[in-house]
Amino acid sequence: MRLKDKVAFITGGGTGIGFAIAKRFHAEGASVGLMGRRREVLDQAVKSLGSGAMAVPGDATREADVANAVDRIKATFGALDIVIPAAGGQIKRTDLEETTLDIFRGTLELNVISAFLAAREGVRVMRDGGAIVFIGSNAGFIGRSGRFSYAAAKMALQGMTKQMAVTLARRNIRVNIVAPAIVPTDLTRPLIEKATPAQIEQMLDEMPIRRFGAVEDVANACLYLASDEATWVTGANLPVDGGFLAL
Amino acid sequence: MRLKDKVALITGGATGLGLATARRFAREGARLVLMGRRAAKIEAAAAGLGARAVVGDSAVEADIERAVGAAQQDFGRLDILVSSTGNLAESRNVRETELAGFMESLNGNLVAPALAARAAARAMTRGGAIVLIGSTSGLIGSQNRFAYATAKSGLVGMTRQMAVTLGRDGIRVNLVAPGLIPTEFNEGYRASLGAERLAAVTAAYPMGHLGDPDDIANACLYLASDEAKWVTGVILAVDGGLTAG
Repeated sequence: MRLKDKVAFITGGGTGIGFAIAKRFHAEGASVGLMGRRREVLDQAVKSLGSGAMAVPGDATREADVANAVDRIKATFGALDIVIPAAGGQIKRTDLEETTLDIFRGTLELNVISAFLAAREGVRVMRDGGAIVFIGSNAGFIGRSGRFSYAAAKMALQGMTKQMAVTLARRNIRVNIVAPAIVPTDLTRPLIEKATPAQIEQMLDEMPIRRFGAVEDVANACLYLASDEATWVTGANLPVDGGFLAL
Repeated sequence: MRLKDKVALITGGATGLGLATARRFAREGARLVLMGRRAAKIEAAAAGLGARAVVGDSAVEADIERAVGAAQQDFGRLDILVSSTGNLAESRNVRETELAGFMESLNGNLVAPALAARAAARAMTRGGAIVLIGSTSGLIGSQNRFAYATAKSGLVGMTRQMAVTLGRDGIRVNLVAPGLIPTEFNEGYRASLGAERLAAVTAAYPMGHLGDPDDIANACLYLASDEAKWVTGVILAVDGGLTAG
């Protein structure tokens, strides 16, 4: 039980990577509060975990919703130790020329503002000695077409991680980031299924391990970084990408 | 038991980070071969863990091949290599560095891990995990580490090159970059600083304290285990935030 007696707040916790993290953390003894916009999806996720899990429905880009979620988790479980801002995504795949201000601003809201709010509100009530793990992306380290806003947003999280690692160390709160390559989720599976064999081959060529990862791979990385096994790890970027960034 | 039935070779396994990693791996069910140059030390470390001891220098081809051979002979295969050797043979800045010390540094800090990785990769016919112990000195500039920084940053390139070329065969290669962790290895360095400068060095770490060998053992455990089966080519700083600031 590597997270025994810990309490975690996970945004985007009802689906995909966020839910995989919730499942893994819960199995390791943590109580988890899951935030998401779709009430039914969230309730279903919490129900499947059983006791020690609660739904805090709301929009991760809204200050009041996030503050309220954090307060409810603290009131229910008595503390907060771990924050995983897993809410995020792409609004529309565009390059610079086609990117409207709405697309750019919306992408920053969904990925950066939501992470900022989860971190700030989390830190407000967190016990000293806690951990924050951001979900970054390989996007931005290497340019790819269609990912202009997303690259900018996910790289912003890298800077946020380093700055917070330095300034929150005095409270012994550690801040790290994982950087996954594409893993099949409900959100991304259609993309992979739509791809031609040649396109799949091209994707695999970019990963030295030559296979797609799984949400569990990302969850395992978050478990390591959030647990006391990583008490001297802060400000680190951990790619979980089958070797994509090494290439 | 996160390494149940895995066979691991740990070079530099008698002391410091290598020994802490060996202890952690043993608790998680791994079967171990420990290699080190000092017979009494490596034999004592191995005896305490039920491990096979190999006396030798991983910078010597025949020695490291003998260690990998021991794993294959005793346990039938090799799944994990942790390369935890190194030296501070030449710890000055560029203008004072002498060729002999520079070469000794490259030999111990770069050639030894290269030979260990080569021997291990040849033996890992069913996939495996290689973890190299680098240093924050290989990531950022620091005083009196001209040769050491050169060698340790070489390991970064080595890690990525091997990750790319061995990935197809299911061999993952990652590097852990520790900050300053008090062990026998850096005893002389810490003594040379004196209390006041050591306090200043410590204060440069955002976390406000130096590391513990177990911090490295835990990082190696994560990277070597199947939990990291989609993680390769990664440079993981375990440094109390030093390289973030």
